[in-house]
Amino acid sequence: MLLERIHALFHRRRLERDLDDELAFHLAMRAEKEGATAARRRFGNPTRIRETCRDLWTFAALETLGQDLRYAVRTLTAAPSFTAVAVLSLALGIGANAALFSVMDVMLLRPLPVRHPEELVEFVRAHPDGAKMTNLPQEVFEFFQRDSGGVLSELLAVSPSGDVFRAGGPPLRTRTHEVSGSFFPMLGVPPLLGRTIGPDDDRDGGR
Amino acid sequence: MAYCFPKGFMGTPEKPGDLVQGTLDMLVLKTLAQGPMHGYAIAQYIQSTSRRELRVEEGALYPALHRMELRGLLAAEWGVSENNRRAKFYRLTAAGRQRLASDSEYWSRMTAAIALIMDPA
Repeated sequence: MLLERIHALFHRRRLERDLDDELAFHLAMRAEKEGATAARRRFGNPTRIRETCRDLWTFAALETLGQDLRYAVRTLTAAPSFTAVAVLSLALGIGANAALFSVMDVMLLRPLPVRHPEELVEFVRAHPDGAKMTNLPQEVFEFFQRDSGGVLSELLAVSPSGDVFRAGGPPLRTRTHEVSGSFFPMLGVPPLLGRTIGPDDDRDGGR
Repeated sequence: MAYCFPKGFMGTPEKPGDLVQGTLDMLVLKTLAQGPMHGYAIAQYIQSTSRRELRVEEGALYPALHRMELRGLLAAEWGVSENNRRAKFYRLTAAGRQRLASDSEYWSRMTAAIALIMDPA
């Protein structure tokens, strides 16, 4: 079927002529029997029939699409300032959306890049007036680390600490957090180089 | 290929004499089983053999012929008609013959099944 259509593509004129001849023959045969006027009246619209048949033999949808695209390009080049404004607003709109999405993707959609992110829970203190605080005394952490009633397999603690100015080379301001020794092994985040701190580092004299 | 009942089958009645959708292909194949024919002869044959109960609209016949030619059920050749005009003659291919056989078989089963409901013994 594809081959026949491709063949028809290169013999378009012959296809048109054959369709014309075929329908003209039919009309002539009817005219002989019924008279020319009656034949034409009963035959219906020959152009319509010819177009229906021709569409079967060609890539009608593709050709219409091509025509539409060419028409669109012609119209747009005829009005360059309109085209510029349209392209610019589309570009800005698409750009803003893409930027916003990449932020939302990281913040909301993508899971944290740690082991079992779905099992992580956060301890929160709630004040009777509804205020919530995530800072807890060290003793609470140590209490639950010893025994959480079998609910939690591991605990980690994080505390934001001050900015650090690196010595050697230009000073560099970096946001840092102090973390418990369980932080890296629990989250399963390997270091790129060297070693991370481990549970042993929680103890005095640990190294 | 599945046959459809005419639109009016369950609801509003259709004009009598309209061909049941999908049966036109079968009737054309059956007609051509006798030998090559041009479109006009096919339409004439179906009308006269059905005692003018069925009329074939050109607007349905030619698209059907070309569709079946494209699908390889029919082959076409240009020849000279009985009154010396250039005409396109259609004939069955092996695939067309096969399709006619399966369509006829399906048709007899369908009409028998419908008859069982319409005229219960």
